[in-house]
Amino acid sequence: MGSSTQALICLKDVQKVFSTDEVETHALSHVNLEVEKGEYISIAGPSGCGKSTLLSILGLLDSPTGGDYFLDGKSVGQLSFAERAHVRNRSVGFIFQSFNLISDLTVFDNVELPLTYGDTRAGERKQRVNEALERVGMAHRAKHLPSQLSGGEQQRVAAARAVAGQPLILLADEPTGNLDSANGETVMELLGDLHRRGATICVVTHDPRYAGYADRIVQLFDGRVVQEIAEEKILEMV
Amino acid sequence: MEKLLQDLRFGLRLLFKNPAVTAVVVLSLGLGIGVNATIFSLFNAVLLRPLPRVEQPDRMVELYTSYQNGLRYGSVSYPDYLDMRDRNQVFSSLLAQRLILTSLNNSGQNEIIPAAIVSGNYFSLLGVTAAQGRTFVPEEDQSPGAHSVAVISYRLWQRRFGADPNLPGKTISLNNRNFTIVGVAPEGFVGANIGLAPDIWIPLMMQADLYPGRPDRLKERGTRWLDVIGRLKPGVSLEQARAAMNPLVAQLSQENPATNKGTSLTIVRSGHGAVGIQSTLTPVLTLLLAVVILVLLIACFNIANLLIARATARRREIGIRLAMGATRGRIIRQLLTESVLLSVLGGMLGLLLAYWTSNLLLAFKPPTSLPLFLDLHLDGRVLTFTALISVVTGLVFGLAPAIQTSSPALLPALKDQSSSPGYRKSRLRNILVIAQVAISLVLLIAAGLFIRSLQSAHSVNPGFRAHNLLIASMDVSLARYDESKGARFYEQLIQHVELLPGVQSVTLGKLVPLELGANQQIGVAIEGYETPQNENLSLDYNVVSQNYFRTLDIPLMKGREFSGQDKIGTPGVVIVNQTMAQKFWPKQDPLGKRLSITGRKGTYLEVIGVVKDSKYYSLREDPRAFMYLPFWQAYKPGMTLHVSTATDPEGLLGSVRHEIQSLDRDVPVYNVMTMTDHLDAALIELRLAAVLLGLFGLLALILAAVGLYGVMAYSVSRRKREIGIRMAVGAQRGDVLRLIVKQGMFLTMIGLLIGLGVSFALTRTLSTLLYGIKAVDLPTFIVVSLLLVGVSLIASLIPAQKAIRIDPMLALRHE
Repeated sequence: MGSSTQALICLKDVQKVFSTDEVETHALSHVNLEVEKGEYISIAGPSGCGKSTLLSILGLLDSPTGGDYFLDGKSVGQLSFAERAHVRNRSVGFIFQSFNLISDLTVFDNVELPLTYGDTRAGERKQRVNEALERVGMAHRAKHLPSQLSGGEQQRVAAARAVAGQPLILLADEPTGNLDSANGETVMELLGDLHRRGATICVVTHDPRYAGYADRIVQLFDGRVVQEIAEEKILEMV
Repeated sequence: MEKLLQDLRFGLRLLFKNPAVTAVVVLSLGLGIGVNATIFSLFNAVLLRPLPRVEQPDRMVELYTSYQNGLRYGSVSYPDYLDMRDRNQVFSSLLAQRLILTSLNNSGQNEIIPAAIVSGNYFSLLGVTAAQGRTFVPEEDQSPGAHSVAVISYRLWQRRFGADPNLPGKTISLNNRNFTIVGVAPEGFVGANIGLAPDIWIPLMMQADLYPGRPDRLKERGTRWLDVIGRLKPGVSLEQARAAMNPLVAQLSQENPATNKGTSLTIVRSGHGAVGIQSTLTPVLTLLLAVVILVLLIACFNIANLLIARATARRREIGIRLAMGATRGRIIRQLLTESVLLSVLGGMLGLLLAYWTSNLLLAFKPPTSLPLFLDLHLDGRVLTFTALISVVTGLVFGLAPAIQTSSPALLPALKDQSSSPGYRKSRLRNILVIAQVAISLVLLIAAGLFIRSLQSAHSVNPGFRAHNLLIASMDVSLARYDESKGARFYEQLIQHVELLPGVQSVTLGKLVPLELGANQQIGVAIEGYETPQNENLSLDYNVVSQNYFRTLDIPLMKGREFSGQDKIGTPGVVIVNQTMAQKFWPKQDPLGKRLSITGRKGTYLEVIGVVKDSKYYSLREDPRAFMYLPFWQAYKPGMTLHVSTATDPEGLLGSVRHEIQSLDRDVPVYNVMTMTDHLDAALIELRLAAVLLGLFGLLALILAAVGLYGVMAYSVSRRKREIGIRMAVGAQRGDVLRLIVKQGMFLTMIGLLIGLGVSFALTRTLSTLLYGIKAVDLPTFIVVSLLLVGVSLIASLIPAQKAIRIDPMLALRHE
């Protein structure tokens, strides 16, 4: 891994180009972004502007085709598949729009999943899973299968899974997209609560109602950061 | 370990979640692994399993007399045995044995029982102690005829004597002579040969009582009749034993030039397929083992295809796991654990199947009076093989899907965007189907070749009458007849049977043509023919009575048949076949030529007839020199009655048996059957191969058809939208049908071409096992290819039928 910078996340001139036979699609163009430890940012923009691509690169689900990405001071932009898996496991927690719980595993097993891919001992795993479930208020449903839960409950379990590994950052891709407004509100409250406890959070959302939870909004358009709105402005907007 | 348990737990959960898929996979694997375990258990019994109950069986070796004419595995004479036993430094000892048939009379009931005449050290050398009573003691191997004792097998003890614990000390009648049973061999002990299991052991010194013919054979160095088995001394290798025995054998040759000139010794490890039943079965078993492994491979490809299809449904789950930080290796491990779990379940089912089918295999009864015995029980070696093949199978069918599934495009997987199957994914599935078609074509062609061989063998003229002929074997020595009494018995028997209504002609023959394992050679010197230096000329022969050639419809080309007047005291005569006549008297009239039998100097036999060549030992054999000696001049106690009939001989079997028994109830009769049945049984090896290969070929065809169907059905389900669009823009149902069938047939044709290429190359190696056809038999190649194309067409048509029923509106709205 390369040289370090101060911010927890630092993207320098990051590009993502998808190439098919004769066509090049620029999903991200020259993106520069810094996220401080403990910061809560919201990535916004219209459909197809590159929000999810940016989040995937932040979460090491994908690699940039240009530029560099520093996570906690280390360059992670061009790691191998296995190295990225290792960093994902240690440093990143995901919350997806469609929850992405494994239907054949119980709530407990789903939350335990990232811990099983690390080297956490069984006793500690159990303790961390229980704590995470307590934090999202789902400890009483530990033995249920995802299909036995409502959408909101499933997303809370997904949030518990995201925090169980004690990652450096939490990435949420449209976490309220599949929820009604009441459940959406609950999930956003939960993220706000995690933030207040010190979590660094990046949320992709295009719902202005939830923008107020963030310290900063990063506005994307056609793969470029067109505007960064600070907390004071957001409060004015809200 | 903990992670493995996690993977196992999840794998089990998935198995129960998809019971239908699990059942199909486990059943296919069960069939594939089951046939492998069955054939392997046969392979194991014949070639791998050491002699049961024998101490250190890997130290046992077999010793054979070899001749310069190419015969390598000849028997050993008793004097040679004694010299080799007492004058060597490399064996702990040597044992000698001769397998014979005896007539056991117990409570008035006669039964033919396989027995072994053995040297006194037989049991001690093998390291076998009696389960009841004792084995033989040294003094029972000293004086001829002095100790009428016997050891019986555990099986016979249970079957005929009700496991009587007080049996030792009791008397039984063998060939009308009383023997005292001194002991019962331990359970599971089957003697000193794989595949041949005597039930009674008698000391060699009693041979004259049980094996009449040449009472002086214990003294005759030229009479080679014993199988010799030795135990290597500790620390002595087989090569050292060979090197040490060569000078001894050379010395024996020098000391006894009349009998041992030109002979040498061949030593082979016991039970390693060089001789006997092992050498007969090894090629067929090796072929079958290769075939069942290919069948299993086809099953593996089917399951791999199924798992690749199922992997599409699991893209999201795998995506989540990868997002949570699982490495690819970890995902592959989890998927392989699941597939090995499936294959282990398949292996268990396979073992059950093997347990059942190995008994079925034993139902093939070959035409031989040899005491054949194969222990097919599923021992540790079969279990290990099955376990190993199960795990390997799991890895084979699981690896490709696991590698492919573990690298999905993460984002679409997590968003559950089911993209159309990538080119690479389809390519892998297509390659698997092509491989299946190719392998099944090779198997079907192999099966076709054997079935055609069997047909060809049935339609071939063996050179003698096969229909309206019956045979019945007997051995008057088992009823303690001497030569004159025996000759009189046979003379009367011929007269009696000739009078039976429907009988056309009756004769006697020592050998029945095409009897498995039967052959008979004798050393001869031909007047005017110079043998190469040091060569003892040995020729195949049969002993027959008058009317033999008429009864068996073997055409007489020159001269005359034997008559009742060709007896002891009249000039010796012989009849030869065409090949022998051409070999020894080319461009000459063979009639009147003379030859003498080795060891009977000065006594000449004159050629009185030449008969057409026929098949003697095997339908596959090339023409060989063969001669016939007249029964009344070359008496043998064990003969087979050959009776030609005007009508179906089946109805005369009972009458012939009755005639023999009415002459003397103590003469045991066996193998009473029609010649057609005998010939059917003589084709056992071909029939076994044809039936099993046919079954396996059919299984391969079904598996390949299911595989093709699966790929086409999957392809149709993935192309629903495309088909909808095509129909929306005006494609007719026929167009859609052609589209799908063309895709299936394209895969089939590629597989077919590869399969044909492989078959052309591989089937040549089968030519020694085939009969009457060439390995590249065009009719077989064409018919099998058409069959495969037909089945593939059906397998493609079914999904194509589904495709034309797609409602374009629904298909487009689905998107």
